[in-house]
Amino acid sequence: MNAPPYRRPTLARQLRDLEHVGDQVTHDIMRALNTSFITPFDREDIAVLAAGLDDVVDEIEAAGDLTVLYKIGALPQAVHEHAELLEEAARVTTEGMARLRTLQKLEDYWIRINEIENLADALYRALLAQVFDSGSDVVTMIKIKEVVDQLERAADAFERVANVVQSIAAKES
Amino acid sequence: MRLTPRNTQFYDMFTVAASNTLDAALVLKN
Repeated sequence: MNAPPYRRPTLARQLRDLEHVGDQVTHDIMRALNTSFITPFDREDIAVLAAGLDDVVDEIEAAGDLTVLYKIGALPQAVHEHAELLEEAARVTTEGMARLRTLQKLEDYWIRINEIENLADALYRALLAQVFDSGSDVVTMIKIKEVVDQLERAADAFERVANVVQSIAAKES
Repeated sequence: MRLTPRNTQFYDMFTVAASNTLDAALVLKN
């Protein structure tokens, strides 16, 4: 989101590659699920959690792809701030997932994800107001709105993952 | 109390999947 437009196709390709990695990991989890007699927690939760993490990458990849497809120029500063929130959500999720094994301090994880999602919501609304106030032509506004909507979907996807983890923790404790 | 052993491969795979979201978020931020 910070890169100049000419670099975006390269970054979009990197995102596509990461999406494929996510698909492969999800496939591995589902295969392990179908061949395991004993699972660490409910089978349904494992499937939902795997799909949720896969969705996060899909949503992020879509945001990057749209900036290329729509040939968008400079993006508003708040778009970069939204991308930074997504990075923090990803860091917190990665740390949280490492604690899934012991179920220790998981509450910190889903509380912070919820806070980040609230910040992302507020930023999303402010961003839309800014875009509609920008005086840009309507097509440009629609293009940027589509990207912003996609960023918001990515933030929502992180929250859905956290909700699944919260549910798992409640059942396992 | 849990009486069955845990199948730990799932934890490792979830860690990899989560780490992949971080890689994607970092690329997006660029």
